[in-house]
Formats: sequence, C-alpha cells, structure tokens
Amino acid sequence: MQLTDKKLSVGLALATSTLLGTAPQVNAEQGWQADTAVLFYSEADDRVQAVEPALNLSKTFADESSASVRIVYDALTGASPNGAAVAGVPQTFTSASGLARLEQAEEDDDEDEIEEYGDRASYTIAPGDVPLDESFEDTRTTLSGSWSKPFGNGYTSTLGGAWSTEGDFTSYSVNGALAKDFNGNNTTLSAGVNLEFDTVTPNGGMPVPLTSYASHNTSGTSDTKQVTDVIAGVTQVISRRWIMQFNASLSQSSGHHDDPYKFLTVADNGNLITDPDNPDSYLYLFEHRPEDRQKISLYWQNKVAIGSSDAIDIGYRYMTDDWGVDSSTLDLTYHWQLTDGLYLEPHYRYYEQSAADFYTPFLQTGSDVQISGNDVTVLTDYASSDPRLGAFSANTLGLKLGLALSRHQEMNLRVEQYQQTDQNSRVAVPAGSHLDGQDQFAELSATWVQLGYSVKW
Amino acid sequence: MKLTLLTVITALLISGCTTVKPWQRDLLAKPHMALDTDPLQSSFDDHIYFSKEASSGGRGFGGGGCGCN
Amino acid sequence: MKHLLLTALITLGITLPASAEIDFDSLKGKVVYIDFWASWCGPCRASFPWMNEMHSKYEDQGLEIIAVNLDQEPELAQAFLQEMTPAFRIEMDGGPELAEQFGVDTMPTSYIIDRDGKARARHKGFHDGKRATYEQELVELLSTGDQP
Repeated sequence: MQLTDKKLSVGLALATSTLLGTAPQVNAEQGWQADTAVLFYSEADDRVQAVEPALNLSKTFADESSASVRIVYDALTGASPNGAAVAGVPQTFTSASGLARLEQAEEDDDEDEIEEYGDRASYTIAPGDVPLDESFEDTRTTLSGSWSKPFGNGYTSTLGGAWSTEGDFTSYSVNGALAKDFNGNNTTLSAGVNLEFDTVTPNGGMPVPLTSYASHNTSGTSDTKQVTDVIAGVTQVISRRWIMQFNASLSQSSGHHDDPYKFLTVADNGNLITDPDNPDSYLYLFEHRPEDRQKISLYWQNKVAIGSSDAIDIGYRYMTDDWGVDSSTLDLTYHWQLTDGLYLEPHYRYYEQSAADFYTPFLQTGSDVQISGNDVTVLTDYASSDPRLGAFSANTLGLKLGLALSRHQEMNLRVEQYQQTDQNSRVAVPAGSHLDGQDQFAELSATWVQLGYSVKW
Repeated sequence: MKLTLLTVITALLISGCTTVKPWQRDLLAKPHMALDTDPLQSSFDDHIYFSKEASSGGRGFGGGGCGCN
Repeated sequence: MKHLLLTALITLGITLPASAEIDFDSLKGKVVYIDFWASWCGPCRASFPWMNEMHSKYEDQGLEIIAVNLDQEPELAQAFLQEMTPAFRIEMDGGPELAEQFGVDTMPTSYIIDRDGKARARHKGFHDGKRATYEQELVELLSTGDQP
C-alpha cells in the first residue's frame, strides 16, 4: 500500500540522545528481564492517533555485564497542521506530488490508487478551521541495543546503537558512556556521547525552501542531518533517603532541519493573496530553518524516600538554543505504595517554551515578502509556523497504577492528559481581513494510555 | 545567574551531605527509588514531547540504587 | 594481591572486637567466614546458596559461617531468611556497630579469619565468577592447623 503526501507527524529526528546513559539497574542479579508495553496516543480535533507496541529484553550475565535490545513499532493515522494560517475563507490545498500520483494512477488504470489519491491530492479547509493535512498513515520501526560492563576500580562502560525507519525518514545512531563510582558508591560521575545520522526522503521530492507550495519546485529527493550530543553528569547520594542527579548536555545538529511538508501563508494586510504562478491557489511558501542548531540542557533530578515505601521524584530541566528557544520543564511524581503489590503514581508536568526567532504564524508582504507583479521575493532568511517552535506553556496530569502479579511479574496502567496554552504575542491584522479574529496558534490537547507488563526470570 | 546559583547549591549540598554507609542504602535499593523506574515509559514520553515541543532529552545515566559490589 | 590485602588488614589494625553477640575468642581453632549482608542487596541473594553449600561441605572440617544482618527494616530480613533457609549462623543484632568496626564499605563484605583468630582475607562484594576462588581460600585455611 502506497503512502501519499506524508505529513511529517512525529518529528523529523529521532531523539536517540534519550538513549544515552541508560545503564542497567545497579542491583540487577543474573537473569533475564522482559518489559512490554503498548501506548495508545490520541490528539483532540481528529489530529494524530497512534498505537505503539514496544518490547525490551535484557540480560545480566555472571560477569555483571548486561545487554539489552528494544524494538518499538509505531502506527500513526490522523492529521497534522500543514503550517498555513487559519483564515476566514475556505482554503484548498492542491499538492503537486499528490496530483502527480493521481495522474499516474489514472494512466495505470489503478482503481485502488485512484480511490486513495482522489481526495488526497487536493483538500479544502473550511473557514475558521486549522488547516490540517488530510488523513495519512505512517508506520515507524525502531530497533536499539545497548551493552554495559563494569571494569577496573568502579568503572562502567556502556555502548549502544539505534536504527529507526519510517516511510520518508531513516535514522542511525551510536552512543557510548563511561561512569566511575566514588565515595563508597555514593557518588557517580558519568560522561557520554551520542552520534546520529538522519536521512529524509520526502514524498514528492525535497521542496526548495521559501518557494511556492503550489508550484512544488524540488531540489533533489533527499537530504541529511548529523547530530552530536555530549552529556556529563553526577549522581550523588545525599542521605539514606535522598538521591540527586545533575546532568549538563550539549547538542550540535547540522544539516537539513526544514519540515518538507510545512509551509506558511503569505498575507497582504491580513488577506490571503493569489499565487502569481498558480492562479487557482493562494500563495503559501515552504518553510525554512537554519542549517545549524546548538542546544544546551541542564537537568536536575531529586528522588526522596518518604516513609519506608513511598517516594517523591522532582525533576527540572532548563534548555536554551541558538534558534532563540528557551524552555523550562518541571516534573513531579509521587510514588504511593498502597499495599505490598499495589501502587499509584500521580504525576504532574509543567512546561513552557519561548518561540524560535524565526517563528511566525504567517508571512507578511512588505516586511517578510515583497511582491511586484509576478515576482515573489522573500526578504527573510528563515521562517516557520510549526507550532513546535512557537511560544506556549503546557500542563500534563497523569496517574499510573502498578500491580505485582507475582514476585517476578508486574503490570501497569497509565493515563496522561496534555494541554498546551498559547503564549505567543498576537500579530495584528486589519479589521475585516481574512486573518482578522482568527486563532494564530493551534493549542494541542492529547491523551495517552500505556498498558505495560514486566517479567523476570 | 541561574547556572551559578544551581552550581553553588549543588556544591554546598554535596559537601554538606553526610557519608552514607553501605548498609544505609536500603531505601535507595528499592525499585521505585531508581532514577528511571520505567525505561519504556520514559522512552514513550520523551518521544511524545520531542515531537510536540522544541526541547528534548537531558536525562540519562545511572548511579544510586544499592551500590552493591 | 592476597599479600597486599593481608598487609592492609594488619596496617589497618583490625583486631577482632569482643562483641556481645560474637565471641571471637571462643571461635579460635575454627576458620570463620563472617559475612555482612542485607535483604535488599542483590549479590547477597546470590551469596546465600553458596554459603549454604560451603557450610554443608566444610562444617565438620571446622568452618564457621556467621552472617551478620544489616537490614534497617527487620521484617524484610525475616522474609529473606524464610526464603533462603540458611543452615549457618545468622546474627540479627548489633550489625551496624560490628560493620563499622570491621570497616565495611561495600555490600556485601566478608572476612575470612583463620584458626588463630587472624583476619586473612576480605571480599568486597560477591561475584558469581569468583566462587571457585573463594572456595579455594577456605580449603587452604581449613587444611592448616588442628581440627576441633
């Protein structure tokens, strides 16, 4: 089954840096452990829905080394914002690649394909609605592995790798880390590095950034990106009840960062304008992001034992990058052991981020774009209306229930609810224009449910 | 400013904390006191937040636990 | 390596204290394996079956195993013992004080004391791969001196 215009749903890059330093449990005895879970993810307003089963298998050997392997499969459906602004008039999006596929299908007399692409090559958004890319389907598979070995006087080395593939995106990464214990194992110093290489091959070819969406001019079929992450951390046992971890990390990403499926509306005094080269369409320009991105993250986690079986987990992360985004994350979880085999974990997360320097809900003639006759000149170097780069705050509220089925088995059920709140300054538009009174940021609301099972033998 | 404050606090805490004896690691050895109690959960959430927000990662590494062997 | 350990022990001046619970004087003539353990310690779980094996093999040759508990929550220690069913001697009281005197800095830690009451070896942690070595040390010490 062919996939049509793919809306890049869950991100162009795989955050494999999160795999860094996932050292096995210090207290692990020899043996196997299998963890499986399935995640059901659903966004409000018919946006993305996903089902994600995952399996993690790990083994601790007699020499205290350990190895683990993980496989995750992702099936996504639904719709995702295409970047165009909400307007007071209907907007029809006709994608060149969708049309090309439809023409090909008609030529081949492929009825199934014709049915598929019939309504995907072109879609219309009603006034006041967030322009969402039509229904799409995407599947992603991720495979990762890691091996850890203690050696010398309190050292532990870890090596790992990951591979991920979805229709238009492939990612490979390798990572390594070294840790040393001091102070009777009360202090651990760690350092790690992660190298990632991504290739994106968008459906319909790689669009030329900041050029007309309807024209869909392409330059090549694929592009790449390399990411290097380095992280250093210290874990310190403060008291019998309190353990603290502090990590600092640096990330350098170079290459293609544009989302090939996202574009921006060009407005003239708040009104949509006709694309000079494609009179049946309004003018939208493909987004463009810088080729380099440097991020610094500081992460601080505290875990305090309450009583003999409860605990509170408080984490804070500060991130800043050279795209102008600063963010703060506060994560709170309370582990409430109800009985020997039953626990509850209420969870709250607060997040806020500032907008990227080049983030804008739409482009404007005069300041961002100059139009004279049929010529469109873009005055700005970079622009994106991707809500991921806008200013917003978000709250997550969740609850997890864990039940021990036996000494070696546990199952768990978790629900989380996520809600974003717009924090962008509003771009003023003249009264009565197409964009007047319309939302300039689509606040995301999502719920996810996780069902998990673990067994040791 | 924030960074300096954070470093100072951490340094103070580390220098001021009492040495914890190996047999006093009983509470920290409990599974729910691990820094990452459910790696699959962390990986699901990290992935969700990474695809909907501009920040990613930061967390990582072991340490803590029972400190055995 | 063993010589280094011995020198270190002598330098540290580890004299065996007369603890209210363990009378080391009365243990002279036996090879004593004193082990500091707790229920929450993974390697301790692995060491108990091995200690049981050593006890059944060498008890009548003069091996005395004493496992000193360091749990902060006694119920957890009891549950552990019910599961492991040790045949050797378990000391439930005075653990932390004894551990301080012995300079225990890892969980678990065991000391081997010869028939003359001298500390001869210290094992930091319990490593599955070293079982044969541990047993060899006991055999060597058991073969010297008088049998009780």
